[in-house]
Amino acid sequence: MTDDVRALSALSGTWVVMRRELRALLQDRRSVTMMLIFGLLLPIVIANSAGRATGKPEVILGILTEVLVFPYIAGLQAALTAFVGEREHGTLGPLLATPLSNTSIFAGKLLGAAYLPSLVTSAVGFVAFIGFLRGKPGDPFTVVPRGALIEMVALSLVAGFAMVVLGLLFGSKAKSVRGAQAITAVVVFPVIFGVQLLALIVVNHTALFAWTVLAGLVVVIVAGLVFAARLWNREEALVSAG
Amino acid sequence: MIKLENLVRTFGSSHAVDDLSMQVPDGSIVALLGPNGAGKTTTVRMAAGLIGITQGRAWIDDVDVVRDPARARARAGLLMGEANLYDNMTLQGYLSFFGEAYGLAPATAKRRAGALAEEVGLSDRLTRKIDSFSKGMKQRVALARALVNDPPALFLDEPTSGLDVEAAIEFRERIKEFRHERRSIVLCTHVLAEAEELADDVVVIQRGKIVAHGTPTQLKRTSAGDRYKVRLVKPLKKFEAAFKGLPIEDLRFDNGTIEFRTKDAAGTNPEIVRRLVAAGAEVISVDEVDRTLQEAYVDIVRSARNDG
Repeated sequence: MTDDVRALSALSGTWVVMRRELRALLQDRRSVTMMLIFGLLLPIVIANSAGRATGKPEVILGILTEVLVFPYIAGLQAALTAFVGEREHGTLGPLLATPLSNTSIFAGKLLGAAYLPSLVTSAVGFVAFIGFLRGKPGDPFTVVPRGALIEMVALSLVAGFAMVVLGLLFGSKAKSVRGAQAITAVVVFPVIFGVQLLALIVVNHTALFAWTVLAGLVVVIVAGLVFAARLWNREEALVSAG
Repeated sequence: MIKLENLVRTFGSSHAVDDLSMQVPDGSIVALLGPNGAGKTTTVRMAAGLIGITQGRAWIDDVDVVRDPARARARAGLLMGEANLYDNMTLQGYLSFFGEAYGLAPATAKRRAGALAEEVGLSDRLTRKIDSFSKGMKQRVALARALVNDPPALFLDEPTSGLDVEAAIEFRERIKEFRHERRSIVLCTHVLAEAEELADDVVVIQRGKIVAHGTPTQLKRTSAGDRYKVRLVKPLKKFEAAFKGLPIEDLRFDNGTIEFRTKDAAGTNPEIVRRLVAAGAEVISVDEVDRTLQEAYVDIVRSARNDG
């Protein structure tokens, strides 16, 4: 055996898996198209309609949450493909045979396939949205109070990540990606409508309300990650794959 | 060296593997045979540190699989049936990724990818995407992946399934070379001719338990006894009486020969010849019939099923 072979630390292992997932995502035309639609096309189309909502900060904020949260739907699909899809197609087996830890594989896939691409797409969408409306009547920086804007951006990003984690948790037992997608609808719609509702409330409430909701979402994410990581381990992945 | 000691694995109340012990010395191949669901894959997964061991111990290259499964996995190479590759990656990207997953530095992993591609005869396709490869090529990629950590232990589960004849022969030749590289190899296969050709030892399992263990030659000779063939000038059915009352089984009159099976050749065969000669038959020869491993395996599995 070559002397260079060794079991990687959890962090190094996560880095190796994450890089592969990102590379695979960027080589996949469908994923790149989705990122372009959610990151550029959709924000501009939405911004166009938001431009007419002059003087209605809650509407502008509601529309902005769509721009921020929608990329996470694509992220969730990518996460399901990375976990359930790989199990379905048998490509997970060779990866599980390596010395990589369960945590490295889980975190690397979650970050590389879902979280980072969603975050980047969301950020690009935000810039496109703001850029399109800059100086126009619906410009969020002039219509929406600065505090509410910051709170809603933070809430949307955390809610998006919560959606991915919960979706993965619910969908992880499915035998196929299609089955998992059907199950995750249970999570996607409540989150989308939930953040819309929050946008309406945040404008007229104190910052404490927004940060309390945010803290609650963080708790949901942590709990979801713990459960998902427990559900998703070598043993479970191999035995359920047959 | 791969060493398994009293391995037990349960799923709920059922025993997938039950008190299984075996050793695979350096530079040898042990074929693990058994019907579907016998526990071969579970045994391999436990031995390679992929799933937990309910009871018992396992070592790969002196590394305790139970105590340090990650280090054990670093010493094992696995090839499980289908190649199961990331088709949208290039060969170099794919092998480099797995090299890094085994802890190689990126530059070392890239060099190793090139060397392995050459070893499996795919160096001209290093920068091509795997989805353009034929099935045989993909299986070679899977083999290269299994060798990326230069493992002292290799677990090959149906390595030639789905390959055409030429590719399968090529693959088997490569497996033989592993023996000279001092690797310990566990080979799970349903192709008994493959096991007979490659294995130094054969372990047959049924319902998670070992039901036979030995060299292919030993297994072919034991179980239901050896088969013999008597050639007569005129092998007529009338000589059937000469076999009556003797400890033989499976008496067959074929064109020119009479075949039977006995566990006591030394006592039975001279008596048969005596009786045949006394009955007027002209005996040309009495020969042992070579059993194939497949015939022996079928006998072993059937007998284990009847006993169980």
